[in-house]
Amino acid sequence: MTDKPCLSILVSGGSRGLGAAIVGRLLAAGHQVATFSRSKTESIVAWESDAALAPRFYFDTIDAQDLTAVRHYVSVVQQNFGRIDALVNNAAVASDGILALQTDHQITQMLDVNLKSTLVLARECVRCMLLVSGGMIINISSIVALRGFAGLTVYSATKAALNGMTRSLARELGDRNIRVNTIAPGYLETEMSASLTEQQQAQIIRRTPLGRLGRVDDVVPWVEFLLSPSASFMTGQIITVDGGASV
Amino acid sequence: MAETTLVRRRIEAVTNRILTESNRPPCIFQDDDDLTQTIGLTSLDLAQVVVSLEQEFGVDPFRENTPRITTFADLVALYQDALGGRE
Repeated sequence: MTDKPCLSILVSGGSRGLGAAIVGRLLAAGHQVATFSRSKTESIVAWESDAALAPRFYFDTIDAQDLTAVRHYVSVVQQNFGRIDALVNNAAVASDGILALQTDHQITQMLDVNLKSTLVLARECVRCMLLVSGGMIINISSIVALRGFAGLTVYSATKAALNGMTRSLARELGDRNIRVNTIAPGYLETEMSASLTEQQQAQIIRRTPLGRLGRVDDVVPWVEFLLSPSASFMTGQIITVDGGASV
Repeated sequence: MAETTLVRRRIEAVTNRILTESNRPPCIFQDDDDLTQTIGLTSLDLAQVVVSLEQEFGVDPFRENTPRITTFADLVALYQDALGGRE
C-alpha cells in the first residue's frame, strides 16, 4: 500500500452492477468510499455490516433527481471523510425504446439522473477539490455515446454529453491538478443490459470483435488505473472498453 | 469599522494564499484594484477564493446569483452584505 495511498472516493450509484463492482474493488484496495443510490441492495447491507469497513464506507439512500439531496450528500461526505479526492460519476438510468414512443417522464428522468445530477455532483466535488488543488473525476459513459444503437437515443444523448463535459472540464481544471477522464464501456452483462432481447444481445456480440458482452471486471481495472499515480498525465480522455465493438 | 476590517483581512489573506500557491507575488490590495487586470485573478482563482471563503464564513454569495463584481472593494462589499451582522 506504500505506493497506493488511501483515497476518499465518492461513487454515485454504487449499489448494483458496475457501480457496486467499483465500490467493492475500491474498498478492497483500502480506500474510503462513499456511495448512494435509490435503494439499498445486499451488497450495501454487507458492506455496512462489516465492522472492519465501518470507518471507510458511507452509504445513503438518495434519488439522484433530488439535486438538493445530492448537494447535501457531498457536504456530509466531505465532513465525514475530511476530503474528497475522487468522484466516479456512475449513476445512470436507461429506458430503452424508440424515441417516438418515449414519454416526457422517461426523457426527463434520463436527463435529470444521467446529466443534471452528474453535473451538480461534479460541481460540488470540484469545489472540495479546489480547496486542496487536486483531485480526479471519472465519468462512466458508454459506447452508445460514440456509436448509434436504435432504442437508446436519449440515453446515448446523455452519455455523449458526458464526453463533452469531460473534455471541457479537463481544460477548466487542469491548472489545479484536477484530472477528468471518461470510461466508455461496451454492453456489459449487468442488470441494465438484462432487458435486451436475445436477438439484441446476439447482434451486439456479432458486432464485437472479441465476441462477447463485457463484464464489470473488464472495466473496473480502468477505474483503478485512472485513480492511480500512473495516470497522472492523463486528462480529458475517453477510454473505450468495448471488445472492439466501436472499431 | 472593525467588522469591515476583519472581513477584508480574511479575504486578503485567502486571495494572497491562492496567488502565492501558484508562485505569484502577494498583493497589497487597494479598493479600486481590478480583480482581473490589477490583481491577476483568473476565473478559476476566483472560484478557489469563493470556496475557501465559504469554509471561513459559511456563506457563498455566488450560490444563487452571478453577482457582477469588478474591483476588490466589490468583492469585500459582496461578503459584507452576505454576512449581514454575523461577522
